[in-house]
Formats: sequence, structure tokens, C-alpha cells
Amino acid sequence: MNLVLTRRAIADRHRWLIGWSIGISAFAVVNIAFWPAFEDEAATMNEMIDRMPESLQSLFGMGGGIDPFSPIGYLSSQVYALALPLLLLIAALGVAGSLAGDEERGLLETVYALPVTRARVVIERWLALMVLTSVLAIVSMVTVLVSTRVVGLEAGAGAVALATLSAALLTWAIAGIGLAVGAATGRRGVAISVAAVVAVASYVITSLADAGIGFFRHIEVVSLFTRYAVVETLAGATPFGSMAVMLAVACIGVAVAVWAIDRRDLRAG
Amino acid sequence: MDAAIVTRTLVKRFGASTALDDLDLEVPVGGVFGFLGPNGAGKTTTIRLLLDLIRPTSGTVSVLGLDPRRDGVALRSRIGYLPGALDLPPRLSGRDFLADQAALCRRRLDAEVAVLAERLGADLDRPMGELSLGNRRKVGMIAAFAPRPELLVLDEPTGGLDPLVQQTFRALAREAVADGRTVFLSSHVLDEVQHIADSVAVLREGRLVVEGRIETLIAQLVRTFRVRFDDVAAPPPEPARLVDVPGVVAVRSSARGPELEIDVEGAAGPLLAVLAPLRPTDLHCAEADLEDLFLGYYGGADRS
Repeated sequence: MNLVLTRRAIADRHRWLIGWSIGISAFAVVNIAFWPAFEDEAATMNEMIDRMPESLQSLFGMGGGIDPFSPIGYLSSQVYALALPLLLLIAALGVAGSLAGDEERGLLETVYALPVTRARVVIERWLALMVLTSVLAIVSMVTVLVSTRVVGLEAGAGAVALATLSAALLTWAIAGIGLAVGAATGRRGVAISVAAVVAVASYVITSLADAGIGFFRHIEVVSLFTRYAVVETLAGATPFGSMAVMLAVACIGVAVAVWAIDRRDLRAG
Repeated sequence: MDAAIVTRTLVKRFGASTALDDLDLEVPVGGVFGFLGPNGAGKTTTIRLLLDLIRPTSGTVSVLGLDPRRDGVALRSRIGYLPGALDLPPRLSGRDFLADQAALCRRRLDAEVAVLAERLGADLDRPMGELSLGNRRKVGMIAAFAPRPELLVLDEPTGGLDPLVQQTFRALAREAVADGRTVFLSSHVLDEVQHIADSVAVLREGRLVVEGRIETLIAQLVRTFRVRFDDVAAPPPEPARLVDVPGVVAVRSSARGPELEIDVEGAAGPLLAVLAPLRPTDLHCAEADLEDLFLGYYGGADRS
């Protein structure tokens, strides 16, 4: 395998990659830059937050018993809890959906007619997604490490690296679902919609479960966001079990994609 | 192996609609095979089945002795394909696209690509989204011909090409055949097929309505002779007198004066022998071509 399709999928997105890198970096820098100001106000803000109902606190990524105005609580709620995985996911779903999207546009007719298997096309496109999202994740990690040090926000480099890896794994798990749906249906819109619904439902289930609502505590095990225990990770935990689950979901997604695309008619452009 | 393509009772349904209905097709190795039919007849469906892009509902397909489903990769390394609705990455140049195609075939085809680009006058440097339809199809044609495949499967190959390029295309097809390779091309433009195909099959609504050598089919065509009798001393005979002549299918009086329109199938000799003593003053017969074949089989009302 000479990875022609992976290289082409990456080369096609070099401007996309520059744009997303700048966007994610800028987002991280801007949020972290407000840390000194928040730190000064921490005491007042804490009183205010304490008066909010717990469910509301958790929806803003402030649950989990971590002081939201501690350095790690701040980094979690401002960057890692929602915004970073959301940005990575939006980027990744565009790439995951392109397998079906390119098929719908007829652009893969000349590829599938060559001596290559459909499985190879799926796997090469997935590799491109992994490379592109890894670049974005690494860019975000470097930005966070540099800017936290500049503003004096204490966060361990190892913990930040592990939190970034968790975000990437969460992204891959949901993108893997999108890839599988796209491979099974040949529809970009369906692939992205299903993956987005999974992501939103997961986030809501986990947040409401964190807020202590009984029903959601029972079903939170099915939510991918439950596996994304980023506050604890930033605080020094090493949730390798949860990370393995997210990795497994991504692998199953790719396997299902490979299996499903070989069991249907390809779309004519 | 004496057949490049064999299909047996091939059926393809898309939901409730039947695209191909019991298609038995046999394409010999070597030569140009014209696969004819109006839009929607099932030509593209058949072609996509040959490449395992879609799968049969029932029946079998064998291409170059292989099963497209089981031996897809091995088979596709021996086929060059030009899609009918050719969609190419708009931001990619023809050169980059063709380099990718060659790399996916594990081949170096720079020399072949250069020769073909020169002959077709293809622009390989501009993004393909900026090229005209005809110029994009040149790129597609280069992709199909460059690996010198045993079987060329070309879906409506000359659509959008100017006459000069069509001529180059015909030369390329003839050269492939001279090498012992097979060209399978679909078309609804009869002219282009008639001039390069050795054999044709005509598809209508998913069924094969006729197939055979092109000369044989033309010889079997029903042609219409217009016979004029301007000499007042020799008026046109009663149509009834001619209907029993061998080969005559129908006789009508013309609206254009003393003239008969006589439909003849096969040899016209017996009719001419009967006509000669009746002193006709003029005889006209349109050259039979596939248009007649088509309209005949499709039941076109405007048959001429």
C-alpha cells in the first residue's frame, strides 16, 4: 500500500489544516489569556457559582467536584470540557463525511474502478483523518502548554498531553461512527448527522448524569462523553480504561465501515 | 478464453425498478463492440456491474474469465474504464490525477500519458475544474488508455468531444484492437459506433433486443425504396401486385404523385426483377444505417 489516497486526502486539505490550526490555537490562547483576570476574581465568582443549581454548573463543565476557579478547573471548563473536543469533532466529521461525500459527487468512481479494494479506500481515508486530527490535537496541546506558562496557569505537561489524547480519542470514536454510517449509506449528510446526534446526546447524558439526575446516571454508561473524564485527567488521573473504550469504539467504527461498504452498490455520481 | 464479457440471465433491480432484465450478452475478445441503446436502457448499469461497482440481483457476470465480485482487484488491473458521467476532482490538475491513478495501479505511466496527451491535445496543467467538458473527457480517456488494458470499457466515450478528437479516439480504439485488445463502448450516438464497431448489441429497457455483426444487421434491415412512375403510359402498379414478392414487407402509395413506397427486408433483387418490366422512371433508397435499426427496434413513430 503506497498510501496514495491518504496522501491525496491530506494534500487536498493543506489550506484547511492551516486554517483549523490557526483557529484552534487562537481559541485556546484567547481563553487561557483571561486566566489572570479570573484568578483575581475567583473568590467572588466562586460564591456566585455556589449559588447556581448543580445541574447548571455541570452543564457549563464545572461539575465533578473540581473548583472551577482552580487552574485545572479553569482550563477544563474553558478549553477541554467542551470547546476543544467540539472543534476537533467538527473538523474530523468533515473528513469522515468526505468518504461518502466524494462518492456522492462521483469522484470515487474512477478510484473504485481501479485494482484497489473498497476496504483500502476506507482505511486510507481513515488514516488521513487520523493524521489531520492528530496535527490539530498536537497544535492545540503545544498552544495550551505555551500559553498556560506565559500566563502562569499551573497545569502539568503530562496531564495536558493526556487530556489532549483523550480529546483526540473521543473525536476518533465519534468520527469512526460517522465513517461507518457513511460507508454503509454512501450519504455524507446522514453520516455527519448521525455522528453529530451521537455526540450531542452523549454530552447531554453525561452532563445530566454528572448533575445527579437519576435516570441519566443509569444510562450514562452508553455515553462516550462519560469516557472523556477530562477534569480528572487534568488533575492527574490516568483513565486508561476509558481511553481504551474510546479507541475500541473508533476501531469498531472503522471495521464496520470496511465491512459495510463491501456489501452494497456504490453510488453513481 | 474466447469471450471478453459473458453475462447470463443477468438481472439488476434498484428497489422496485428493473434496470436489467435477463441480459445474456457475449462480447468476443478482440474488436470493437458497440453497446447501444437510448438513455436509461441499462447501458451504464451493465458497465458498472462489469467493474463490481454494483452487484447483480441475480444471474452471472464473467469478464476476461473472472468473476468481478470474487476477483475484482485482479480483474480491474486488466480493465481501463471511462465513466459516462465523468466527475474529476476540480482542484487537481490532470497530471496529478493521472499520477495518482497510475500509482494506484502500481505502474509508471508518464511516457504513455505524455504521448496520449500530445495526441489528444489535453491540458494536464490546469485544475480540472477549469477545463471544458471535452477537455476533462480527454483526461479520462488518457486514464483509460494509458495502462494499455486488455479490455477498455468506455461509457459514451465521445460525448462532448470535437470531431478531430473523435477521430483520434477512433484511431486509439483501432490501435488497441490491432494489439488484440477489446474495446467495449456504449453509445446512444449511432454514427460513432457504426464507423468503428465490429459487432453491436442493442439494449432496450434492460433487455437485449438484437446483437450481431454490424454488416449482418445492416443487411437484415428493412429499407424503404421509393419508386417513381412518371411515364403516363406506365402508371404505378396496384400495391397488391407487389406484396407477394420475396423480401417485400409492405407497399404504400405515395402522397407525392405516381410513386410507391416499398419496404424491403434483406436482398432487393426479386423486387427489382419484378419492377424492371413496369418501366419505373426513378428509384431511390436511403442508405441503411443503425438509426433505422434503432428506430425499428424501439418502435419509434418517426421511422424514415
